Amino acid sequence: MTKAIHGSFTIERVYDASPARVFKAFADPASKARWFVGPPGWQEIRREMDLRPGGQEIAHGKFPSGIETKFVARYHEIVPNQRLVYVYDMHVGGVHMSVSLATIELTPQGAKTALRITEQAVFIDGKDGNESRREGTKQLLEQVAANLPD
Amino acid sequence: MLNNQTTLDLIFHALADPTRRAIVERLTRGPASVSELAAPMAMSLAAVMQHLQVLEESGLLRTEKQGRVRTCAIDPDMLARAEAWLTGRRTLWENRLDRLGEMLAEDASKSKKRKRRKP
Repeated sequence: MTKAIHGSFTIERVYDASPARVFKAFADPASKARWFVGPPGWQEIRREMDLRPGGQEIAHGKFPSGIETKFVARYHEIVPNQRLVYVYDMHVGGVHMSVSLATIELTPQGAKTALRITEQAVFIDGKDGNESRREGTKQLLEQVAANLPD
Repeated sequence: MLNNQTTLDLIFHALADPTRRAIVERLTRGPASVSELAAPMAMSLAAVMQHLQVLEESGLLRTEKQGRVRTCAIDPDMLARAEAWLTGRRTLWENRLDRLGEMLAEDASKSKKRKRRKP
């Protein structure tokens, strides 16, 4: 059993749209499916969304190499046009990589909307088997390579 | 701990090169000697060794010398793996939020056009 490692990050953006329109992009399954996707090359296998406290969201997909990723979230707080709080597990190639607490906050700024995402994560990857380590490393490489700055 | 930019920079630098990615991909299948790694590469042994050194400095690769054979293996330490993973999560969010911005702009221009057509 390896040690759990914690990390967090915050990202802020300002969108030229009302909080209601930005919230809809998170709340409406068809809108969310247009932008909430994996890295380039990632293909969707299954998607589910049940936006209510205790409701579940699943985004299951795979990389060109065949490695599957599974995002499984549970909503904890929903304040329309203002805030969403959910907890999600990330599984990669059958390995449970991380658990995160995500908070999405929307604040009106005149006619625009400031969006802030805070993610607090614990990286587990606790199973020390060679197979899980190999899958984890392979996926990690794909993720880093797909997101390299130009 | 995770704000240690140096480790991340080294990992990104190490993986930015296609030769080094090929080496890491090969090593995810199991350890290999330096000459095994160099055999399929269209470059000198010295050039391959330079790439291996960059990978070793990033913490993604470990080498061990037994007699005259140097064996390479992927065994990045937990911290390096966690950092790369969490950076990946962050970058993924950055890309998604770009897409979200594009989507909001597209939808706004569509609804403007509709309004113009039907005043």
